Amino acid sequence: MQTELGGPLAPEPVAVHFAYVARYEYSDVVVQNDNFLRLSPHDDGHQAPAAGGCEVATVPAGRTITYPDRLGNVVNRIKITAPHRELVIAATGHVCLSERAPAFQDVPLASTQYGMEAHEFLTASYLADPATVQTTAQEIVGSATTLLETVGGVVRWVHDNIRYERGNTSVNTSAADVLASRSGVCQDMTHLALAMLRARGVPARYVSGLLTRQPGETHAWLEFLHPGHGWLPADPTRGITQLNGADYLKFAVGRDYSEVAPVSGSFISRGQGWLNFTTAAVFFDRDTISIDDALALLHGQ
Amino acid sequence: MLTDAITSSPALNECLNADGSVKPIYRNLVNAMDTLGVAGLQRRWDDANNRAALDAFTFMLDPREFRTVPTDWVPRLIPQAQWDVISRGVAQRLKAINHFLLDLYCGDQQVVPPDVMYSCQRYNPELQDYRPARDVFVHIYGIDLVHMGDGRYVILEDNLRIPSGITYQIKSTEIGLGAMPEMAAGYDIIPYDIQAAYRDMFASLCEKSDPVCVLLTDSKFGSAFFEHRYLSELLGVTLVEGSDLYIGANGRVWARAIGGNFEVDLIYRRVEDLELFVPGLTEAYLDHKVVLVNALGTGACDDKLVFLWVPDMIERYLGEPAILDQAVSYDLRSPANREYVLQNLDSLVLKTRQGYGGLGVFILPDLDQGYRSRLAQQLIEQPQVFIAQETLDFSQHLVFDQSSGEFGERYVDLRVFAVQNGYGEVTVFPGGLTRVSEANSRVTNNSSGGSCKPSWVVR
Repeated sequence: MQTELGGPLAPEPVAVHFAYVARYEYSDVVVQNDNFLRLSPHDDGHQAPAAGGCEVATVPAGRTITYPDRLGNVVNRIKITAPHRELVIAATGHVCLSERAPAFQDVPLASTQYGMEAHEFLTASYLADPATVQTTAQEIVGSATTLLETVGGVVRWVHDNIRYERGNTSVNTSAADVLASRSGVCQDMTHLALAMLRARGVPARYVSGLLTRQPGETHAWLEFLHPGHGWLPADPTRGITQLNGADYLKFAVGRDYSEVAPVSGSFISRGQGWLNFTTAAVFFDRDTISIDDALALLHGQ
Repeated sequence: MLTDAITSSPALNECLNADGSVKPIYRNLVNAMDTLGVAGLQRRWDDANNRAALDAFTFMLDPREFRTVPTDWVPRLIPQAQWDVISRGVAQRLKAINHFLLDLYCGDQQVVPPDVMYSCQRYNPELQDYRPARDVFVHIYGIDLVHMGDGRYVILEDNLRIPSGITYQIKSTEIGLGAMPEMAAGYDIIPYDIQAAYRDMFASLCEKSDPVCVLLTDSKFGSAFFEHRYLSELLGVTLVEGSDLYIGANGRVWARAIGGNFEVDLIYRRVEDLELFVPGLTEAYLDHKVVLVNALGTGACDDKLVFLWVPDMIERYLGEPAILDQAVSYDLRSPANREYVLQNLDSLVLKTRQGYGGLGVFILPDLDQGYRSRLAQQLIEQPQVFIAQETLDFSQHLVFDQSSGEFGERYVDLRVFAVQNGYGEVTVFPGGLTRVSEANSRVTNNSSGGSCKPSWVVR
């Protein structure tokens, strides 16, 4: 039984550079393309943007407005008004990843009180409704009496019982769908675990970001609220609650994927559009990074 | 009297006192209707409806079916003292919103929280640092008010992209007065000149006395085609569809015409997504090759959540308190507000941030329990989509049912139109458009099935 979280303290924060690129294709000319990008590091005290900052860019270029959303995620909204049939979105950044606090105390679930601001992370969101997984959550961790037992139980169960399988789910797949199909990708496993934790009274939110040591595609994990230590991470896809801080680069947090998609938006065209290619890279040994480095990833496909 | 059948109305009626007696300002009118009698009124209604049909005073209902705009010809009377407050309040609000839009796109606005403002679908990032002609964003403004019965009017929402209905104001009054002049006996109705105000506005923006202007309609089969056709004739501007316009080699906007294509100085656009209609128009606009009325970017303030900060805009940019109150509204980003709204669903109105034309408005007290709980679930899942407003107990008015020959009561609101020219001068057209709800509903919108009514400001 796991009763504490937080790994051994790393001696120093780790500074990494990252690059992300995505290419969209369209079957006809697009005259306007308006996108919200959540591809900048989320500054939460455990990771912080480092010198050199972060950049986003598109080809063709657009006009950008950068703002924090209500949960503190950095949003870059880029609108392109030049006609195009292909759109490349690139992002880069330099970020310091530090370790979590050392091991801390578990708390009894029954006596844990959360403020009103935690309420939205306990109730149904668009893709993670606790009511739809209530019975299963009760069966799995109904006997758990502490916060960490509950989180550990849910995360392990999802890892052990949901088959990792691509292609069967989409951005609109809900926690209930995943429980029924018992398969999905990181996003689906995270939604299911979120809904189960909420069903057991543990505030939980979705995290979008990169696994620094397997950065080829964006990853999803979750955070749960500890009354004394704030938001703590757990990764249902990997079945772990002891996350090495240097392994995870966090872009955005939200109630579920629908609030934190790396790229979301709309375009005006007679045709249709689709994601043609996307990848990301993380570098532990570079001194600088530029948008050109992100664009270069297109040629390595 | 004909109105005697209506007694002790539960809700406030603008014409009648609680005991059923007629309010002083309406006495001449009710006497005139009494003199006409039921049969006389029915004939007048026939006459007015025929005039409306002959003038093609219509809207598109279903594909290829035009209907006469349903109109109740009993006029609404607004005393000049009340109107003066409305008029000043509307002009104040228009100016404050225009200041805000300029600060939003060309300055560093500090009024609306960034996550609200920049997540708004109708915020246009491409307009950063773009100054529209003579710094005017809002040329034509439509504002929806309700009357609380004591001379106090409260704002429900703003219409800033393509406010519609001004021809309904003109035609309902003109046709009503033509068909039943005896109703106006004893009243001094304040006149206005929409044609002059618009033409002055167009000229001031183009800085030439006789600019080439066109009115861009979405389609000859659009619901508002009557309005587009009528306005183009009234204002002496060419009516065009998107396919009539193109961007010429010189980067300017051209209109196709049989006698030779011509360059366009100003587009009075009655469409939202310009690029769908005229590809390249946005770029031409950003190059200052053409003036758009209303300017691109005004839709940012049509957002129902941004509405909450308009009183702050008035204080910040004009340094004065708002003249008109607006409906008490709740920002559902706040956990406390979400909690309050969920606890008080049966007394509130929910609106979607991007809704328009009566769509996305849910008056919860008027809905059944099942519908209400589905909305509650949606509210929990996606609170950022909505705002909530207190339900207002606003005024009703008399309506005449031509087939039964009886009077009834319906809720009414008031859409007021104003024009701002290139010198920042605002003209508010007296009377506005009174919109009438269907029976047992408080939604007053022509797209949602309501009707309209002439409104006179009387001295």
